[in-house]
Amino acid sequence: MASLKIDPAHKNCESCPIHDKLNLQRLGVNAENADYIIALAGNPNTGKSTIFNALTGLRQHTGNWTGKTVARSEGSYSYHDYKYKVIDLPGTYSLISSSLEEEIARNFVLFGKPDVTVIVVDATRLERNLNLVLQMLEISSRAIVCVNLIDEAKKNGIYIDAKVLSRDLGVPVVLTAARDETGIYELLTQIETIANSSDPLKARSILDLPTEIDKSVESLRKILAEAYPDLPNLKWLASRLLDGDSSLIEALKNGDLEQLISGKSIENASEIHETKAASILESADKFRKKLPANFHDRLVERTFHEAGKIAEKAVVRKGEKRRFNLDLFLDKVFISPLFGYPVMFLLFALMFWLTIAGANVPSAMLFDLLVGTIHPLLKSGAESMNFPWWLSGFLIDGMYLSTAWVISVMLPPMAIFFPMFTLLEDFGYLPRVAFNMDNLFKKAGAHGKQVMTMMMGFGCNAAGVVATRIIDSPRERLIAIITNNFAICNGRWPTQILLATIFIGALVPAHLAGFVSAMAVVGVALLGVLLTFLVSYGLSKTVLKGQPSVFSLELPPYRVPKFWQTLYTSLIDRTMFVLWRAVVFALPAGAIIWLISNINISGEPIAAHMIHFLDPMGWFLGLNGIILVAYIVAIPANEIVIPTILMLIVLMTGAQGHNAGAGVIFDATSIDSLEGILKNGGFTLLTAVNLMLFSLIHNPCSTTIYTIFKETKSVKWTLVSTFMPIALGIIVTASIALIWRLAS
Amino acid sequence: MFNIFKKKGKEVIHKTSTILSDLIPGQKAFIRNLSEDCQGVERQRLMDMGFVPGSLVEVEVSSPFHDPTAYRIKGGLIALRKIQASKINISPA
Repeated sequence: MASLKIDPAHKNCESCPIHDKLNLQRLGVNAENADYIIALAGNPNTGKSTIFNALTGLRQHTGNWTGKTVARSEGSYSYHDYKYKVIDLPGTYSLISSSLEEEIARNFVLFGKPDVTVIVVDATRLERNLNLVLQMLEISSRAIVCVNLIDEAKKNGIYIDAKVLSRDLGVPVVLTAARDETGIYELLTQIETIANSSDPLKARSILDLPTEIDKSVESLRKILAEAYPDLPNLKWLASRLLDGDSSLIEALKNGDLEQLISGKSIENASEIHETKAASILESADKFRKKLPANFHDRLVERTFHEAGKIAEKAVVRKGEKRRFNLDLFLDKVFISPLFGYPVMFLLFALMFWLTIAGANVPSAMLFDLLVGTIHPLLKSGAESMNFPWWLSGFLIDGMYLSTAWVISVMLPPMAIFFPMFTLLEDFGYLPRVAFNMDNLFKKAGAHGKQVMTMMMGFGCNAAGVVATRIIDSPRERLIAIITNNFAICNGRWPTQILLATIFIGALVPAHLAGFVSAMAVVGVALLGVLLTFLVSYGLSKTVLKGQPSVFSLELPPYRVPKFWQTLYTSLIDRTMFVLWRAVVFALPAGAIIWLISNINISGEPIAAHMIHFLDPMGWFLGLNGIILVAYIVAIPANEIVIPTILMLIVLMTGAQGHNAGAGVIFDATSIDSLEGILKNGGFTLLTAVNLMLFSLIHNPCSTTIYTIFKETKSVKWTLVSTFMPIALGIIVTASIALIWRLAS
Repeated sequence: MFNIFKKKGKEVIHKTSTILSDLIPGQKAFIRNLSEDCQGVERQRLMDMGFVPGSLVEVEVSSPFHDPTAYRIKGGLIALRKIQASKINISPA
């Protein structure tokens, strides 16, 4: 149970029940047996996730960009005597669904029958947000409008009159600034009131239509009411059907609609159902012909007209719009024709350089501690307790050592890179990268938003694949999914950084080494971007032909990131999550490596057989057998490639005849010795360069492959996404090896 | 030094352009309507973002290749490709 800190300004309200902090118990994801279901809906980037976190105590990461929450997430809290389950729906601009997220949000509010729908709106863009509110109120009157970001609005000289707004909308209005929990208790109280009341609210309706339209809607509503007496929101459904809403027509045809209403699948009723649906659609067609041609536009314009009128009354403006001008100035630096690209390049180069330069020292210290000090202690401890050699070998030299390596190689760069990336994300820079680069993506036949999925891929490709949901066109989304693997994920950064530091930084004088290795890593990352363009272009000219779809991208206002909070959450959530995953995979991998290194078949360990078998192929690719075996062991997670390579080298070169078991490093007491181990294993500059390239261009990890299958629901595209990069990687590394050898 | 950030078109009321893609950063106009070429999802998206007749729109900034361009409309900053902006008819502000 997390306790809440009380804003000093509100101390005098402590006695008031609204501010009774003891009554709020945040229950995180434990959403069983909830009394009430609360849906959070709203425009993208209005701070829904921040509200969600404030209510549930969860720390769902809240980026400053449209489409951050692509799937719905759930959490819960209890307040007074009731337990509430909260569903954070993806942000939508309207309910006339033209994208997957909009459909998820709409279907949940329509058919999930939440007890309360909290519609979160952005105080600085009230009018456009009200457009969605008015549509929402049409399908659910058990609603609360939560005007968020009032702190940001205040800075822009915008104040919202909650009373006026509430009177005009017919539902409660709560003003919040969720980032510092202002207004959260009032929201809790309002949710409680509505959840426990059975009286329907008299929400503002936009469906008071002009008579000629209203007649048709009403006639269709009557037909629907006869056919489906249990259906909620008949008038709204009727107007959507008249408008020719394709997803609703489809749902009516295939029975999904009935299923969604009743909550159970319908059997044996298919024939009756089909005729029913057909006759309804026929009537809808008939009525539609009588309507004016611009019926749809008129509905939308009408809604905006209403929204404008309501906003005008509720918004009070004081002072000038200074902040918008600051935003404009920042935009002229970050996305202008002159500075857009140089600034973008400098920012990312700086980030990589800081990561590489900053990670060196802590990495060496961790290595000294975990491998240099603790490992010998464990070994001697095991010896003094008379562990058999195979047991201490399996546990300490296998499982412990591989985990220790993963931690010392991965933790420092991640702990530096992730917070920086998160700060940039919270600042609002990511969509602007998409804005900068859209033109190139357009030329490649892809969508500018692909950049944002790529950026997510720099963290984790599985997350990047899920993030492609922000792209509406299925063709462009598939291109984004297939090419996401070319964004180097955090599991691969350490490989790049280590090899660049040891082999490429060593080519230049010491004072330039950090900078040159950083540039080498940036070079590989840029090659990944180039490959993304080339492969996207290739796909859109061949198997995924089609026209570029609509591009519209909202650029959020710049927000000053909450520095310490960002540092904390990105360390806890991202860094620890990724590290945990690496450890979970490193433990069994370490065990497997130790086993294949110590179980002999016809006089040689299994690993040696595998390495000898793969050596010719490895030579051909400018790599070696050890690296290929490591990639086979590391299919579950890229994080363990380097540790596996190190352990296998030691097995093959250093540990022969040692009775303590193979696969053990005896002289590696500092991170500098990694260089010695790799060179001992026959690593040359060519091996290092090709390993860096192969690390960029090979199959996605098993988690990502599974995610691709879940997202595409297609075996074919999953296979393409898996094998196309391997084929490309083989071609690239083999060509470089050939040219290298011919040239030297 | 801030002068380099100021575009000449600032606050200029444009009288000759009829489509949104003709405006340059700093210029403002009212949306007249969406062209007949703009249908389906494209039309719906633009309207959802606030590109409806009567809305005031201002060009804020162009991207490095001058396409897409970011427009300030109803408080939001929306980036559109030239091809979309050319389907939005405007009248002088």
